[in-house]
Amino acid sequence: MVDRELPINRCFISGAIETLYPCIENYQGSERNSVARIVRLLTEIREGKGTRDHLPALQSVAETFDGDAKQRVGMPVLSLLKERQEELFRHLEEKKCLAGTCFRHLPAPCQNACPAHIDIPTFLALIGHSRYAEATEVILKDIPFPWACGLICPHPCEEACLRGEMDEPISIQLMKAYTARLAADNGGYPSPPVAPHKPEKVAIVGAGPSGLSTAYFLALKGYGVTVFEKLPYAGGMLRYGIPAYRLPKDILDREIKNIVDLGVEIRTHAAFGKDFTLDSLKKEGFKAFYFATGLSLSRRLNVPGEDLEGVLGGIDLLRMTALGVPPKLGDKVIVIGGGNVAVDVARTVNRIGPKEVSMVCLETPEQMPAWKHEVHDAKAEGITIYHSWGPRHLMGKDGRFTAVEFMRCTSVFDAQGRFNPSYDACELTTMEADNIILAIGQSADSSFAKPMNLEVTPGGAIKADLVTGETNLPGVFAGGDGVYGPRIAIDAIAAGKRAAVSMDCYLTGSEPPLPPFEPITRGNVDFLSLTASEKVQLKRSQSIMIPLEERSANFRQVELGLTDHMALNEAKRCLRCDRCQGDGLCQYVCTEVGANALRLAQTKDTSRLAYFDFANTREKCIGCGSCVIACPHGNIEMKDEGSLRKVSFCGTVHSELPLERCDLCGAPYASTKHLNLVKERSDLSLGLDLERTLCPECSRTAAARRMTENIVTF
Amino acid sequence: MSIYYLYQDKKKCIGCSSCKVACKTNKNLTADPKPTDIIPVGPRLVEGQPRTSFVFMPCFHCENPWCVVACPTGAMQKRPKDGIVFVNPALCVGCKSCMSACPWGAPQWNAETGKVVKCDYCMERVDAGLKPACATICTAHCLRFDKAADMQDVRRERYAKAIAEL
Repeated sequence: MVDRELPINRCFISGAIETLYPCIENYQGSERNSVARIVRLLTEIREGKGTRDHLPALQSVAETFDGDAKQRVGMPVLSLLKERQEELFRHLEEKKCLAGTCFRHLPAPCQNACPAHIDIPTFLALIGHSRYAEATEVILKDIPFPWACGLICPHPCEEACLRGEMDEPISIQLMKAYTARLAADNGGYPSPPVAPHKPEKVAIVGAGPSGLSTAYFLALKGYGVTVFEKLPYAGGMLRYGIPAYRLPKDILDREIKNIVDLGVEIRTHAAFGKDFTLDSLKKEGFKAFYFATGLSLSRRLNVPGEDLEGVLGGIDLLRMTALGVPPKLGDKVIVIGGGNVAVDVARTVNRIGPKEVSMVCLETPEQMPAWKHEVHDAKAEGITIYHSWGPRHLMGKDGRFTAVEFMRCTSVFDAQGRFNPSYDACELTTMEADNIILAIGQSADSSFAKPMNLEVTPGGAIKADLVTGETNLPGVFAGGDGVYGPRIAIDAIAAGKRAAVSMDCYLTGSEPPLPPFEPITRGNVDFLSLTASEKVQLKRSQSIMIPLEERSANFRQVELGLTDHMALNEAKRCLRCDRCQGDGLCQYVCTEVGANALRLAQTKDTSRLAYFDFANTREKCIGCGSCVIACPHGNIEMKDEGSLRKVSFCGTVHSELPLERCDLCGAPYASTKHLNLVKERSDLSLGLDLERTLCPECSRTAAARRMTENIVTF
Repeated sequence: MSIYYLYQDKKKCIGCSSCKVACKTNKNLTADPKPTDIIPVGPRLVEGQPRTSFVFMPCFHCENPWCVVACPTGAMQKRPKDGIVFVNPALCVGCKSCMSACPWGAPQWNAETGKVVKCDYCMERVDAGLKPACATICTAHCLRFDKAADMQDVRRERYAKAIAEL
């Protein structure tokens, strides 16, 4: 039967937990313990660990509050218990949550943020264990370009990294390049498993990151795949848009070869609409089609003088350079644009001859969309950047460009935050130059679409479903920049990966997965062992760079990546959000026990807490082990070694406590700190001081002996 | 103390451990936790004969229980109506403070649930008018459970009989 209950965005239990969590800090003593207990009981229900005892327990704890705590904690919880009784029962008895937000294993924030959902914590941990081939294998499950992405990805994963809230994010991008390089240098990437051969053939138009990714994933599913490319080599923007000093061509070639080795055929010099058409492909026996045609045209400024000789498009310049025929430029060159492509263009121009390269952009330094470190490198390489100027018209002499007039840009975005620059036409300036290169964006060449009745938007983008890639034509799918406009390579790869799933469903006649394309956990790798001080003190590693003087007039790779030592450190810095769900149960029980040693922090990812405060734990942990039991994922470990009890959180040892051993059997039974706390609580309050030198089991045996000592046998 | 008295007549006990088994079965426990145990003491010479005592060790349900004051979460409680000391599993977080506090080793560790389990005189059975599992199963009829006020002291009877026989 179909479940007709309407989905709700978030469960009221999660809402209550989030509201009550900050209250713990507001109270002291037994009230604090009780608030923690309420949050713990609610969290256990959310995590599927609730029992029938939970509701009466919540009720009895909620009834104990007085005054302020009664208003803020007690009453809300009691009314929740009354009004939401039925839903609470469903959580407990049926393990069912109407909102669908309970009982879930959350992917790590980094994996969630990666458009292709690479299982980042797993591959980082594998690198930490020196299992490089396996680490690369994990990445290859979600993308075919571990090394290329490791060199050029703008890493949205690092924005989401929770370590960034403790100090700085893990160098995830560079770690990918590191492990891919080691795997490639030690016998090549591990070969992924390929499904049995299927008879259907698939055609892919465009050999960029999106098209090649679709080819890769379909080949893994056993399909015969042919990729058509109009340029002489495959790679798309990875080859023609990204300069070789960032992504050396031999690295790209190796990764493309791995795809070809799966049986994918790549036909270059094949332009769609000219050398072949949809009908000719159908006649050749292809059953499904993927258009990943990208954005191959440089966008125009639409100001007078754009057709003068000496005016070039940014993408065209990069493409010509990649093809080995860079354009001839004068000594003085201006690059228009403030994005990553503009920086790539300026740095490329700097390497092919001109003496003086300037960038001019609309944005202020803070607004510039290019990556900060790329801008920094460009400046270091001698490029001057002028901010808040917009070209007004291009001037020339005898049909050749000579100078450009700029007007002051007063704002780039309008009140709605849309790109809509306004200018002050009174503040003008003129710059002379031999060439001007326009790197202000790209547009699609979708002239091929009309003859085959493929729908496109007025802006020239192919109309396709952003999730499944379906177009208006059956069996024809599309994705990548050509569909959604200029985005980063990993978006194109992800679109290709999703399209491969949709095309497989189309070809096999099966239903597409629901919900589609969730992050998949690729392993459950052991924690790396380290001390808390190491965990806290290790700082983010930066890529090794070749010296400035070695960069000019060549396209040598500038960023050399991480050393072995740096890579190990980065792996150690990872907080392992794949294993630690940040449910906070460890903190709650620690507060209930009264130790207050584990203190987690709320994060930008509101669905989870994170553990940063190792020092507080070290100082206050009593080694009772409640957290070990509370963690539903087995992330906390307590080990007795010699005379010490060691407690570790996701592999990081935060506490080492002296142990008490039983006088009779010699077994360790409690930490000295814990035993003293017990004595304080029990003996002192009862006015009796017992000498406790035996473990519980020996205590019982000894008591039994004592009871028979003066036995009278009646 | 609780209002109940669970008396073991050591003279009759044959150490069969049925009480222990019944207790675990009633509480659905694995091998390790033993809310009650039979501890053999001896053998030693009594009137020239080697004798072993089998000591029944449940919880004594103290008047001022160490475990209750040691428990930081309020899971360990003394039932006001009859003084039974019991654990509320929803409140127990498994810190084992009660185990360190009890001088008789009565609270037991249940690794399966990560919580403490202990003798509670089988509260639900008592509330239903039954006797605890141990006293119900005892093969030698050496375990007696009743309200302390109603309990006949067998030792006194036996002593009286012994005097009478002289």
